[in-house]
Amino acid sequence: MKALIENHRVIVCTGSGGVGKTTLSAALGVVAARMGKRVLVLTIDPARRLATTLGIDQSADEVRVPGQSYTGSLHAGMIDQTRIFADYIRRHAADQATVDGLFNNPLYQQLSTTLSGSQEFTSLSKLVDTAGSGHYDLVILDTPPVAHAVDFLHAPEKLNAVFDTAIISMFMGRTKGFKFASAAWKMGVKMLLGTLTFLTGSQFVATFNGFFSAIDAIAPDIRETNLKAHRLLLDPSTAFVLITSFDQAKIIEGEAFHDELRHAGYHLKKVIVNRAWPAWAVPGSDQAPLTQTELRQHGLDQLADLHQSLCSYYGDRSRAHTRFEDIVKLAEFDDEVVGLHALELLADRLVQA
Amino acid sequence: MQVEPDGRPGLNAGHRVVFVTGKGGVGKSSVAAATALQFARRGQSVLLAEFGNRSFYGPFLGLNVGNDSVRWKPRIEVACWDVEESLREYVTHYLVFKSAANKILSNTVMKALAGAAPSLSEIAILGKLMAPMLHTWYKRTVDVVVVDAYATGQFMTLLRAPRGLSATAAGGPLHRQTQAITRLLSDPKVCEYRMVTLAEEMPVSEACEMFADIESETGLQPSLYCNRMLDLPPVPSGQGFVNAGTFLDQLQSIKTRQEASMTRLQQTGATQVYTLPMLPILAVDAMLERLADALDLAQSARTGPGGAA
Repeated sequence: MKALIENHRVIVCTGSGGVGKTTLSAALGVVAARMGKRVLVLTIDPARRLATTLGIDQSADEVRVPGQSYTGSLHAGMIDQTRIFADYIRRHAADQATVDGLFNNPLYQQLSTTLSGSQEFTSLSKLVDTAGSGHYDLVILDTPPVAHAVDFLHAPEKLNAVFDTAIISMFMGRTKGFKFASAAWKMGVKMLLGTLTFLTGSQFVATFNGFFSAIDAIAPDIRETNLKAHRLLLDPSTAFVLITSFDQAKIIEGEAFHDELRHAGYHLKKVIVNRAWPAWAVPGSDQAPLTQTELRQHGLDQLADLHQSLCSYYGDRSRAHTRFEDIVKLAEFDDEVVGLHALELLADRLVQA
Repeated sequence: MQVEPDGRPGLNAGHRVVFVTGKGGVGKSSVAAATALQFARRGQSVLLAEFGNRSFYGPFLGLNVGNDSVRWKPRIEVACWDVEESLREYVTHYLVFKSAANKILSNTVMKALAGAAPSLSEIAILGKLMAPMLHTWYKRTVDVVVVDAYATGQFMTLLRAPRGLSATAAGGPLHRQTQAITRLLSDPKVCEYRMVTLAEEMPVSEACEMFADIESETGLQPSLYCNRMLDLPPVPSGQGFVNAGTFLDQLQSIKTRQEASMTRLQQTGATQVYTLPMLPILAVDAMLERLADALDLAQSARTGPGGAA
């Protein structure tokens, strides 16, 4: 864990939803700050208590986490999608009217909030900015919650498709910019737009045109950021960490992600299996039989049986074959992680594991 | 294009859609698969459907799952509907020159379209799901479609899409269709909603919120399933125990949490709140069969208030 922090300038924490990714990213930040690093933890939509702990419940700006006394310093920041997109627009819009027009366009509202890929894009945009700012030795990015860990990698493609010059041109009814603007193609585009008008009513297509003309201005900048982000993610100073749990489903999904990362040339440096087992069912410990004996001595046979069946389940699960190499298994923490002290305890366990 | 003008169900009466949703990591997909087993056991034919370009069930069930259905068990098929593909099917159906259309509707264009107008792709997915009830030309031979639906937020986006779009797209077949879909989503004879959660603070909060959202959007009450519950006898305090102390203390706190969670779920006003057991079984098939047993059992004997234990 120490080598991971010592040797990298960016750590990207990936994994699907519900595995404790945000909490572990913050704990990793604590580990780094204790090692003397100026570290920034970037997160999206943390649980309320965690946000309070990190001091980011009020604003999206980067803040120094309150109540700390580390050799280094721990900072936290939230990724505010709407604001990041608005900044892109303001930088490129010709005048205020264009800005207002776009902000009121329903499609833009979707782009800056729910559009698939836009959360990932804003995360990466913020990552590129902060990692290059010189303010931090290490930036830890907690990636947006996705159904599958792999979705994170494919998000930029999706957004790029929206900002594809040819496609923007197509929807704007422009023929410039097409490499193969044959008559048939132009006719086809006209037909498609006609069908869409027929399907959706003219209002809808007008919204479409308005949207595409407006994003035309920011498209090069968006692509540029995506390119920079891609380079940063491939850089050897960027480490990927996969956070997963021991569910059968999560393991299968994690392995697919593992392979895909390797294949794409990213550097997956660590797999953290969170909540691998409860503290009372550590595989191979001699505590388990002693617990069962004591329960039976007190006539609590039903509880002894339960303990036995759960211990054997967690044991089997931890021995189940996976393709993961550098794997860290963490016991389940009994309570919700509340407060900086709880994060510090989790950091201890991360280092010991 | 034979869109039934009012989109009344009845073309394929008895065709049902069961949506299973919940926060990530609560076991939603397993419950959906077990729900499919449950219907198949009653002699109905089932399609277990998921959305997206990456199948969860493929690796999970050891099948090669794609856009076309594959057989998993007797009477159960599994499919993973690709969103862009569904949108393409949808748009091409309305285009006159299909071969020319297919050239233009390249993957990139579909991605852009789906990306720029997200509600359009939700409509395509819902349209495909409801097609047997909307069009005479659409044939699907199964009795029930069990949908392993999106998690929380994205699921609400899906449910809200038709109403939202029918407001922006005035007139045209899309308008009529979105209205028909909205009606079907609210029809208890067609749709059923199942929500899975865990006896933990965050998942329960989200479930309560989403329960209200689904009810206000569709007028139908989802049934709530609190998953991975431990069936606990009375648990003494860990005090005075040399070795079993931590275990007993944790069980006590689990018990408290389970009871508190059930109480909060009941307080939503839901008439159907069920518990599903924690199944310490690694083998996927055996686990799903047991989960299907538990679903049957839960529905036959409803738990009372605070019935976590």
